[in-house]
Amino acid sequence: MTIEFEPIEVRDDTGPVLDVRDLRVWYAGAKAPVQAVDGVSFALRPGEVLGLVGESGCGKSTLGRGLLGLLPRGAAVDGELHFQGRDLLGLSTRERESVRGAGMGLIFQEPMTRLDPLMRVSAHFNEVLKVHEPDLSKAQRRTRALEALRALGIPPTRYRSYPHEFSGGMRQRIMIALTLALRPRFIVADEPTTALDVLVEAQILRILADIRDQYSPAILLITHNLGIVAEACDRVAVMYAGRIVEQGPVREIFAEPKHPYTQELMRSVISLHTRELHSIPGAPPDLGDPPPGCRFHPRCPHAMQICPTKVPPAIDNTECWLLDRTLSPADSAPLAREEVSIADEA
Amino acid sequence: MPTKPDADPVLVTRTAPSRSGDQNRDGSDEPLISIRDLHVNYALRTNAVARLLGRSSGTVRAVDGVNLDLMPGEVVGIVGESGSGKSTLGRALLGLVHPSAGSIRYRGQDLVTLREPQLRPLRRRLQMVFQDPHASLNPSMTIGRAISDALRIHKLHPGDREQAVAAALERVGLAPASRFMPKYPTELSGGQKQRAVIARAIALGPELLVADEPISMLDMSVRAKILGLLDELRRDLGLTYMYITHDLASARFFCDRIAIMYLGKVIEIGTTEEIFENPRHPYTQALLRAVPDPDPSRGVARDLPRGEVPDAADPPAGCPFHPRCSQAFAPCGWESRDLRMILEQRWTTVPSDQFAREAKVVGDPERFAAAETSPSEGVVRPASGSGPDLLELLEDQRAADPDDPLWSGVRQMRADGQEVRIEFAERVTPQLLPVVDSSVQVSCHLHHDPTKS
Amino acid sequence: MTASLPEVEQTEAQLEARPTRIPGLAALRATSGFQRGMLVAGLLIMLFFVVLAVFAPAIAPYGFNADSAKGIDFQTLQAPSAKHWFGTTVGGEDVLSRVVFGSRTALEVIVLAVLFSIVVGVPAGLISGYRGGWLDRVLVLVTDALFAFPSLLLAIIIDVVIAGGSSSATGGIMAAAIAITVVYVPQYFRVVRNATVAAREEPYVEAARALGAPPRAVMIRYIFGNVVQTVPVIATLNAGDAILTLAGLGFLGFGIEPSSAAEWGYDLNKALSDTAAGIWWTGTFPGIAIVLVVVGVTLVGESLNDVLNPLLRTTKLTPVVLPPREDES
Repeated sequence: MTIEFEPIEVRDDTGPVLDVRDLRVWYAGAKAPVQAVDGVSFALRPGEVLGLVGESGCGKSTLGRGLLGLLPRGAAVDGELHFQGRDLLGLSTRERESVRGAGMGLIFQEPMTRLDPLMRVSAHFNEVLKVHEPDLSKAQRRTRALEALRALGIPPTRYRSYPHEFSGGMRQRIMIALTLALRPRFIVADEPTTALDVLVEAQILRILADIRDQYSPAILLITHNLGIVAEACDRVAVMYAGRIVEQGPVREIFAEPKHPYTQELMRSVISLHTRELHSIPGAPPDLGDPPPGCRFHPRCPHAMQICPTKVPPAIDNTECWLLDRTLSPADSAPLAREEVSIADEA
Repeated sequence: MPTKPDADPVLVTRTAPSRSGDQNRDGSDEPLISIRDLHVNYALRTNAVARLLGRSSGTVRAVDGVNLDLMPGEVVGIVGESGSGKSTLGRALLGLVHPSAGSIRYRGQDLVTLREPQLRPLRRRLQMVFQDPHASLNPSMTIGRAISDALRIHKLHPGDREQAVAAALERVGLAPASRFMPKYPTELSGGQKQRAVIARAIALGPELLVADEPISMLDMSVRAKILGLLDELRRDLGLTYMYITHDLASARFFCDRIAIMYLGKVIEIGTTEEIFENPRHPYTQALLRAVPDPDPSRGVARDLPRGEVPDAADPPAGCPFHPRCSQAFAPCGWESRDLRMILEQRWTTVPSDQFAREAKVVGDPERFAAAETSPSEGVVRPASGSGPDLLELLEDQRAADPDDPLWSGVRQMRADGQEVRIEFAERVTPQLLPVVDSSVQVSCHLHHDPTKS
Repeated sequence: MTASLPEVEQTEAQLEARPTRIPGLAALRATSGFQRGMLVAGLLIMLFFVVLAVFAPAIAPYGFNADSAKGIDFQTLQAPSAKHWFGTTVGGEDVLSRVVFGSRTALEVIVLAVLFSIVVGVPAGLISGYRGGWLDRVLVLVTDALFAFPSLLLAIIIDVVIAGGSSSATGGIMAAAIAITVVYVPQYFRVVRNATVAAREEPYVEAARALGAPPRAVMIRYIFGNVVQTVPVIATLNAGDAILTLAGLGFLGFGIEPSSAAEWGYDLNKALSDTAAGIWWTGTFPGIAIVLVVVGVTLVGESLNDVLNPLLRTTKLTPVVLPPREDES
């Protein structure tokens, strides 16, 4: 009875909506700077959904917020970040703010707490639209708002209700509608369904797919759930310890993951078909003091001698020395890993 | 000796249950825990006056008549979404919330009749693992103290407490114990904290472990480790589990039997294989469809029940799932409140001027909720215009979408001057009854003829 | 549903200092800049007066009541001079000595008052917050009623009731201490009670109950440790206010007899008539002492509040400098 979702052909428009090259976002830590995002490159086309998947501490949330310029105090950014051709890193905070609402939207993780409880839904929309599209009349604002709400299945009778009169799932829809009202070209959805129930989660994902069909924004969907990535995304980028270790079309990566971390991650997911439990020994590294060379090497079952010495280049969109056919025999000899002590177990 | 996980990341293969049906390992068929007709009601105080006077203005029936047996050594999964009452059930089992009615028999004693001081020594045997590892450990106590405090409360191991603590820590994989005992919870990762919580629970030598979403706040790769640990402990220590979760995937792996809960009631219960291979209740079917699967050939689930879990203080009549069910029909409990849902759905599809016109006629759709004059009749007055105007609107909707399950429950709609009278089919509340030739019990009219109840 | 993201990257948690046995010590270490300056300044002032108080007999040139030395009467109302750095009063007492001994009185009374307040207010707050019910409602009502009184008025009433006009030294100091205790106990009670009510809902408290811990153990071992950090803040902020109340009592002639101990407020009262005659030293120096002590204690209290409240804490952050990229090839 399930209607299959046909992925639409992504129109190759005038070029990527978002083009990130070698982005670094480090923020201040207690002892040493935390290298949350350390050299990340990817591009997003209009209408494309890129799933950014990784575990906690890998830097994916920092990346999502860094793209929008929402960074903690004392953070430093460099690299290239082009949005619709403009280099965002060169902008002032003010200019960044105006881009943020109109061109880029953010959907937060916990919808329960992101709406002002003292403001009606209508007031939320008015505020957002006034700031970013001041030329709209009051009637036009209302139309926009109702249109956005209707796209999300919220009846117009609820336009003047307060946030607490809605359930979590409906609040998330309101958040998405708020983002949508500005017709952004690019949306960062940071774990939009983690705090929601299974059925509501499925509804929200379906809504995101519908939005993509109708309005063609580029969506960066940040999640730790591989199931969501498989069902809702066109491309996937796997993040580990501040770097994207593998990226590509979802079908390819899921069918044949090349990076050992991706392979291990997929094996460790507990799905309805799981018969055996797998996990990755050890724990993700401390981003304030990451391992040298390839950051996954202490936990990698295929680690070689070269792995701790140099960061692997991206070969086939995968950062792994295993794919380098030109290694010398000395370099590709297996690395003797110290027994992972339990103290380092997660 | 410190236990280490295998160097090979393959951890654990789920051992098949060593018993079938209701038999347990030692041959006896006495359940460890026997829950009968359990009710847990909460009083709501929604407005200021009620709060001041301490009076309640509504009741939430968090657990609404649950019957369940837990056999020794068994893992029973309680699956549901928020508002299903699953967490409340777990807490009621341990006496952390006080049941309003019913009984929980454990080794011949009815826990509901016991008062706090009598319950406390029993807590040794009935332990809990909580959902949020970051919050279930006292932030101002070291791990070692947290566990030894548990022992101290029950006066266990008076001479060699430290050894007992170390043994518990190493049993859960936090070895060497000496390294972890002086640590504070903030210094540990989520997985390590959860291990510490488990260590604290098993240090007391429990028989039953209620695990309330123990892995849902952990990372993907850490979940397998903790679930594997729980499974190991089940075998090695002969534990019985009540595994509360919304995650069907881990429930399928870990549990022997599964009970699906919705709004305080168990709506389907059976062995894991049966539930997953042949789900009978439409809600169970929907849950299974909605679980995201790491399989790119599957798209986003489309055929989902509409709406969301309703307000537990005022559940729908008849079958609580009926407003959302795509397979509902006449006896499932249709009432005038459901008309409100239909109207709101309609208004998300029509142009705004039409909405404006229709909203004038209908007025506040909330009034439909108060329109019941008798269990099978609703009377509604339009806010403006006449009865026939409103009737026309409803009929228009029916013509636009005649397959909506609601209409199967509407016997007749007629205008009567300024009112519209809607006659509904008789409502029958479904009961949890066995399905022929299987271990499954389900509470659904699709499977049990409502006329014979 | 209460489930949320597993282990969100806690940028602030990375900055969280390692917990130690003494709650807040680590946080203190992590302060910087203006907050730290405030804290240090306040501590220095407090330390200064504590030293004055403890070593009063050694520091003060004369006794607080002495109007003569070596048989020679002091001249009354002398301006500050080499022999009397702060001058003398209308009765011939040395102002400096009175100020120094006054700090001893202040210290005694305040320490007693804070001690009593904690001993009464904290357990009451814990029990009331944890148990709830009618006990809680009654206690809250009572303390709210006490709050409603102007503190000085209440202190006067209590003082009169207790001391009944007695003039012994301990009687005076005790009476003042108890009076101040009654005025300020509601604050300790309220703060601890509210913190307890919040902590009571925390999962780790439920976990403690699930372990089978009796209420006493839960309160003492699980809630108290997490609630106690509010107390030093209240204590220091209160101390400042309490000193003013004590001075007020003395000013109005209640509290301590002049012959039993020196008290700044009393001196201020006596100095009122002097000002008309242009004699400034009898009032100014005790006045400065009061101001300084209150400022010092308040500085410590405010910065403790900022430090122990994680939301207000400004931690030392060294701005990040990105190193040049290595050439990866």
